[in-house]
Amino acid sequence: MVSLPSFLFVSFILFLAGIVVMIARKNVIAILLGIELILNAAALNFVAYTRFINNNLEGHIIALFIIVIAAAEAAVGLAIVIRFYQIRESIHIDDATQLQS
Amino acid sequence: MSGTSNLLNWILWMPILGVLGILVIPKAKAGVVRLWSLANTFITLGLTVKLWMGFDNALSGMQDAFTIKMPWIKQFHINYHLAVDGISMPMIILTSLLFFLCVLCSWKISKQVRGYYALLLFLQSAVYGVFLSMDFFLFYVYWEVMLIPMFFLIGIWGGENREYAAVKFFLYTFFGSILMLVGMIALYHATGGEADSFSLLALREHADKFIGMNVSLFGFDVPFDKLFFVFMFIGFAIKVPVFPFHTWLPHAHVQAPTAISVILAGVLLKMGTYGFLRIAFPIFPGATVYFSECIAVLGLINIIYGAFCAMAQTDVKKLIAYSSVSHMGFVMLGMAAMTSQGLNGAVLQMFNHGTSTAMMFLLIGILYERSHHRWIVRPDGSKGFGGLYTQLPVYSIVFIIAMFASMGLPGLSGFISEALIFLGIYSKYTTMTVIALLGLLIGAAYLLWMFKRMFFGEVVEECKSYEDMNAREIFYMTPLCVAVIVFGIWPSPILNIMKGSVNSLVVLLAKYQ
Amino acid sequence: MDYTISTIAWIVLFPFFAFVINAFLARKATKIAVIISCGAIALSSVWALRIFKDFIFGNYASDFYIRKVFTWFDLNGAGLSFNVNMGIYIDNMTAIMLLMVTVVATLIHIFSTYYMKDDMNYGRDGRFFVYMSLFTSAMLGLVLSDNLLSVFIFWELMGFCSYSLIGHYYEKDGAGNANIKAFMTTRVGDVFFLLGILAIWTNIGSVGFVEMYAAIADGVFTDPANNVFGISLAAFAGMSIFMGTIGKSAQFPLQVWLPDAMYGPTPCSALIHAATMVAAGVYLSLRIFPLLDVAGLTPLVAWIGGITAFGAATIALVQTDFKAVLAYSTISQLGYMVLGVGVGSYNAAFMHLITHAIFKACLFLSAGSVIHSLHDHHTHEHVQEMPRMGGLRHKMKFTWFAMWCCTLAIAGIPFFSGFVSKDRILGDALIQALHNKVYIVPAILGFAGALLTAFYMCRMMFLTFHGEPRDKELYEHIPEEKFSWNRNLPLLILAVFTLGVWFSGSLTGQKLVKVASPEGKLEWFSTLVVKPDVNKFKTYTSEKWGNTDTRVKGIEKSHYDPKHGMTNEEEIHHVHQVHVIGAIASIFIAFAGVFIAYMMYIRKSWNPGWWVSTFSGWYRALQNKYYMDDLYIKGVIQKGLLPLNRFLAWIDMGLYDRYIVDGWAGVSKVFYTFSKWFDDLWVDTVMVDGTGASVRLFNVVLRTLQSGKIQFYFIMIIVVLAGYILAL
Repeated sequence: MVSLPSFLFVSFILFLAGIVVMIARKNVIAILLGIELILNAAALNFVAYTRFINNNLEGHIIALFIIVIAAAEAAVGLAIVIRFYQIRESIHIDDATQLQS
Repeated sequence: MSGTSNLLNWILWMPILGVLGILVIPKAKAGVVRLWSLANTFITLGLTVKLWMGFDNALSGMQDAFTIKMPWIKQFHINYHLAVDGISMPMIILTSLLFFLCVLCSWKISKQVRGYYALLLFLQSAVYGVFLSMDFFLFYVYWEVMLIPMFFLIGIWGGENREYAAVKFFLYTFFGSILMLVGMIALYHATGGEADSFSLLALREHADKFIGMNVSLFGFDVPFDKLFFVFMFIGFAIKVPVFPFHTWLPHAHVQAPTAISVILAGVLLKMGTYGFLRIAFPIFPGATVYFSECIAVLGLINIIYGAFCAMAQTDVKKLIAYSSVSHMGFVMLGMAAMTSQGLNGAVLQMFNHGTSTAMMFLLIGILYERSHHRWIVRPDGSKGFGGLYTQLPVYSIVFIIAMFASMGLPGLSGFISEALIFLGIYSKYTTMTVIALLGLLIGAAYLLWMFKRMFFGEVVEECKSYEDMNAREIFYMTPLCVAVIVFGIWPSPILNIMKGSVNSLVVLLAKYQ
Repeated sequence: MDYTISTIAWIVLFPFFAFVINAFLARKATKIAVIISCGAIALSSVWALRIFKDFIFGNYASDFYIRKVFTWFDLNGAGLSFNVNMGIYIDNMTAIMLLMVTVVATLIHIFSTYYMKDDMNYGRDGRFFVYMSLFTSAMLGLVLSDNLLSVFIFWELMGFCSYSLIGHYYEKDGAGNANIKAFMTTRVGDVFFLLGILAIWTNIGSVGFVEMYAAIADGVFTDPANNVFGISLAAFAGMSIFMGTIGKSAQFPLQVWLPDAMYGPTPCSALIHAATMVAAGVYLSLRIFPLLDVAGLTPLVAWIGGITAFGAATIALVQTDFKAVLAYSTISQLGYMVLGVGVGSYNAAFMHLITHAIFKACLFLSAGSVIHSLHDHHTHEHVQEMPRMGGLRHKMKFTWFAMWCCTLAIAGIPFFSGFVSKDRILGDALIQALHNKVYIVPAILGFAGALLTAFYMCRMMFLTFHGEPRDKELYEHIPEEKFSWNRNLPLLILAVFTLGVWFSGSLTGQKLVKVASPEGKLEWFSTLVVKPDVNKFKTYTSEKWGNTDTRVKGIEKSHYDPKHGMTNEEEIHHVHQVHVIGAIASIFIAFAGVFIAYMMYIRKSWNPGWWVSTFSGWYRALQNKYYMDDLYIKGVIQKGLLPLNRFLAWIDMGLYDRYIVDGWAGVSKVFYTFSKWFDDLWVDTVMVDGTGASVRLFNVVLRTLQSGKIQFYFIMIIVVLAGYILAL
């Protein structure tokens, strides 16, 4: 029987991987992938908790929302990346420092 | 008391529709902007003609059929109240005509065409607002709103010294407006802030009440009506402009682009005198009678002083600007007479001066497009123009018509109004009439002298490249030529509109004499 | 007959429509424009002839008149009413004027087709005819006017036309100077005229002649209650309106414009000087004669007339310009007319107006005929200087003949028209002088002027047509004059009418043209033109347009009253004697003038140079027109008006606007400097910037943190989160 801690562990690993990717990689698309990982880690947590503790469908619903949001976010993110590439001819994250005053 | 027709709303808002239209036209399509503005002003002109057709000459008050009245700010009893009567009707006709012609005459403007026409149409709407509002608050709003497009039109499209002129124009007029605002608020409180406290028509009913009132100013008891009459007077006098508030005019005229000069001299100056007739005179009849001699003297100074100053000018546009000062003096003089002939003459002179001076400014604009300077005599003493009669035959003929209309040659429009004014004033102030007649003499002198220096003699070398008026220019001069000649021979169409309303004002004022 | 709009107004409307049509045609279709112009005025003269026939040969009493009015515009409304009426007024004087104006104008138009032909061929359009049409139309309108306002309107229109015609050669600077001078000088008079109109309008509520006469009869004008500036209304209004005459008819002291008006083409000079503009002034003073009379202004009028008649004649003595002599002779003759008005010689003044119009038109057209032939091949200009003429009679016989007829007429030689009219004016002046000392000087000036007139006119003729040609080269180039319809016919027709018989009735003054009258033997002119008797106008009721005249047409003709209202037999005899003496004196004087000219310029027995050297100061004064032009232009305008203008303009812009209006900027500058200091130091630096400085500290710290690198932010977030979790 797979128990809650194992789900949490997998989720934790995913989350850490996401964080590391976000911080370490300089490629914007990779960072977007990292964000996906973090979201998926969160989704996994929701499903796991709702299955083992409440045993109802709330967590599942939220997980579905997360998937949708992740998709939308990816779309917007990629659109930004494309525009960014058109302007700067680069997708290197350190080129996007315009907001610094 | 709303009438059956929405025509006034259409006239007032049609230019705003034009502005909205211009905003959606792409920047690159300047030609479309011009045509659109032309079509818009033409429709407004058509609506005005329709208004004229429906105008009932027999009525001496407001034209009930066209009145529109609805609450705007209920808490302070401010209404959206539009109406037209015999005093404002000639001004509406003048406004519609001149704006239509001004769109045509600024065809060659290439700097920010969209902005220019949008501001021009915006100005047109504001001018209609001033002439149509029967609510003091609404009137004041339009009076102020009108300054904004004017400021930008002079400040952006003007000559070299345009910022100075624009700021001067704005501040001068704004100073007057503030006094008017004080007067307006005082009136609101004096009537107790009840319903119709801002209605220009209802305020007349309180005229007797104002006469007895006193108001405390810096600890002194001052008669209410006289004090606020003076406030209003200054507010309107700046616009006319009456001596000694006239010095913004030459600057504004010299710097403004042609069309704006035309509007300024043709319509905006009349708003001052219109303000007297609509607000200052009927609401404070007692004070008006009390100050009538002062008004006459100021008018007289305008006539003589303006004419003398005009004669010394070497810039032709400045010369015409001072001639406007002089001619508006006749209007003031006619109003000060407070007789039927004097007041009718004054209102007719407002209209006639609008047409003749517009012609002068348009003609100077046409010349300026060719020469890019306006010196009769350059500062170094050389001739600015010479022999234009030989070079520009058609232009010269139109110029002669405009010039003689302006100096009041019988058979052209200026004469009838000036003769009526003189007739009105003679019975009251004989001495002033004699002096004012001197103005006629000087008026002819400076115009003819200018004409002689510019048009007679051998053609100056640089004038040889000038081309005569083209079809567009002839087209937009024609209506004014026709108006000047037709109303000179047969003034009844305009007089019939105004005489009922003007005479009822005369009757009103006569009670207080 | 039924006088309606169609029978009367067309006289004015024909030339007016010609003007309107030609205003559009003149530039392209010049020939058609010329035909329309001439045709219109010819039609007018047919209409005028019809009216003339009705009035002069019809069975109307001599004081019969027709007046029709319509409302031009009104200011009725809200219980007030005010009407401005226009209308026509025809009496015998009008009828005669109409015929004279139309016929003379027609002949001038015909002559113009000859004179202006080259002008039009050289690329200039037919605008000359446009203005000519308007000019005649305005003059006819003025003659038909029934009120002072419409007189003023047409009067000013003529001023405008003369302005345009004098400035016809617009490429010359001189034309611009001349026309501005003409317009402004007459305008000085016009302004006073308008003042007079206002005075009358305000006091009697109308400006109609008829109402004015009635008011005079009622004593409104002499009522002390109506005094203006301490003088009677009659004197005030009369003098003001007479100022209009002074301006328009070039009387002293406003005569300066007329000689300069020569700058225009010669036919327009003929029109201005003969039939229209200057005649209008005298016509007006005749119309307001009752007013001048009741105001007691007649001595003043006589003085002005006398001074003008004599003064202008003296200036004419020294002129060398052909047209200038004629111009001064015009002023002088106008002076006679005004003198005639002043001495109460109503119909003689009017007769002189007519006779003068005819012979002066002829003189000017002849001058045009001469000048047009004298073409200088070096400068390509027409020659007007008499020193370059001489002996022209061999080259141009018709012109010579016509011009001599006119010269004899203007000189006052018996059997010519000028004698008939001028003699009567002088005779009346003599009578007045004998009765009233005030008139002595005008009468003497009148007689002296007559001598000078005969002299300078003959001098002009001798210098031009007789003797040897002085400029041989010019003379050689003059083409032989051949009879042509548009050059010579107008001259000859006008020359025929310089005979006195047309005006006096017979060679001796009687019986040739019978007019219906009880006696049947009176001079028609004297019979038909009578001073308006103001008392007869009291019962007048106005008629609207289109109404048929229903009044009984009286046939009684009054006649010229040589008795001057005197009933005493002895006095009548005395008057008659004085008239005879006056006539003999003027005949003698006229011949004396001719004789002196003959001795000086044909026989050359007397040397004119002697006079010049003896009276050199006077000679210079005459050459400078008594320095009056200098006084007006150099004195009043250049020393007075222009500096005043510049001074006021400087006050306005240099002083008032710069310091008082823009000075507010200075005042507010002081305020804003203070408030700026306060604001900058205390409010801004200490209070606002103090806050700012503290913020800036944090700012420095935070700036470094805000790197813009998103991954750095993640690290920060994680660090903070971690710290937070740890802190828990």
